[in-house]
Formats: sequence, C-alpha cells, structure tokens
Amino acid sequence: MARPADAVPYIERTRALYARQAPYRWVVHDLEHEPPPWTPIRSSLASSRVALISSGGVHREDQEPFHFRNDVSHREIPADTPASRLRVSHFGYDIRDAARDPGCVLPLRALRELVDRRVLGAIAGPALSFMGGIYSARLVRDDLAPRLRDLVLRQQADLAYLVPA
Amino acid sequence: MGLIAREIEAAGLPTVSMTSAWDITEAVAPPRAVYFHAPLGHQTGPAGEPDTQRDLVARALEAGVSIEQPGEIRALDLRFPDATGWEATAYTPEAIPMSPDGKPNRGAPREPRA
Repeated sequence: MARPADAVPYIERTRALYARQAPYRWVVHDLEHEPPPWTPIRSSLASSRVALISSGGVHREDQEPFHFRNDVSHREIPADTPASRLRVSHFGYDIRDAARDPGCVLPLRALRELVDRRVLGAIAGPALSFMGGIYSARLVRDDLAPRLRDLVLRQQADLAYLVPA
Repeated sequence: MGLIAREIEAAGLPTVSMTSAWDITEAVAPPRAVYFHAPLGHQTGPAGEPDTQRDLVARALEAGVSIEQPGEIRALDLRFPDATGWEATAYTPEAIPMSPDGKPNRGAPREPRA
C-alpha cells in the first residue's frame, strides 16, 4: 500500500496554512494497535442499497447554507433532487466546479444512473451532507459522527459510500 | 470523514470512503478507502462530465467492496483530466477560498448566485 509519488502532502500543507492557529491535531490510528472496525460485505453491489454521505458542503437551495469552521450541522438531500436545486458552501476548498456541478462531491446523479443500469440495487435514502474541514475532532466524535451513524442506520442500507471534498 | 466511517462501520454497516488525500486517510485509517488522484472538490470526478463521474463511482465502489484488508487504501487507475500541475498549489493560501479566520483569501472565488 505505497503512497503514490504525486500524492499531495496535505498534512504538511495544513500545518503551514494554519500555522497561526492552535496546532491542528490529526486523528491518528495505528493500524496495528487501533485497526479500523470491520463489517463484512454480505451482498453484491447490484442488490445493495447504498447510502451516500458527503462532506462537500452541498445543500438544497431552500436549506440554510453552511457557515465557516466547526459547523457540525448536516442537511438531508432527497435522492431525486436535481442538480439545479443544489448549492455549495464550504470555506476549505475551491468550490467553483462543485457549485457548477455538485456531482463532483455529491454523486447523486451518478448513483441514480447506476441504479438505472442495475449496477446498484437502490439509493437507500436521502444523502447526508455536511461541511468538512471541522477543526474540532471532539465535535466530530461526540456530535456529528454518532448523529450521522444513527441517521444512516435508519436507511436500512447495505453499504455506506462516503465522499469527502 | 475517516472518523465517521469508523463510527458507522463499528455499528455494523460496511463503508467505502473516497479519498484524494492519501496521507490524511492513512493517518485516520477508515475501513476501506479508494484513492482518486484529483484536486480537492473533485472526488467523484470533473465538473460537467456525468459519464466520467458515473464510471468513476462504479469503479470506486467495485474497488472498495473488493478490499479484504481493514485499512487498505486502493488507488484507482484513473487520472483527473488536468495535467497542469495543480498539485503544486493544492491546499495553499492561493487555492482555498477562505483563511481559517473566515476572511476571504486573495482572489477567493465567490459562490455564484443562482
């Protein structure tokens, strides 16, 4: 599992970018001592209900935009929402392309097409959307992550597809 | 996002995470990750190319569900269609819209009005 030679060194650049702030503390899990939890995949993609979670800061035009930094709120976006009704607000990446085409970070259209082609079984429920770049790991751990977990579990999905920005 | 993937997987729902930030993903270690070499904000493909996005998502999901080793990051054999050297300025003050204190960076793009 070798890191590609041209992968961008985001940790190093984040430290440089936020040098004047309190040091960003990366969450680090040692694969040997804190391996990821593991749930075996039991169904084929073609028979799977897939839930979508995105941290690209996408919201529907009639939903409140996200605010900058440590906004741990989320929006539910119905799976049939057309791209023309979606907006993007995010402080941490260049949103011009995503604003023009939210499919860059919230692939609802792609998932719908894959269901139509029977590559996937179904979209399990509304996409769960939030704005990443949250400075506080504590807020993610204690608030956002358990809230999204509970919401996605209610969708009776077979697989969750997580798309950061 | 890695923390959220771990939380969901621990509750019994399998996850597949996209990433374009190999080093961050390696540190946080979600259960299954698929790497696509692209600028931030393009994890599921270039803007205005729905066919490319659909094929990328299909390949990412297929790659993701084939991972058998917890914590593996699988690199997709796909390139973002921009060879202008975007890597050099990715995630630098020139390339992100807002500074951490909420002030727009120089040349910051504004969200277009609908």
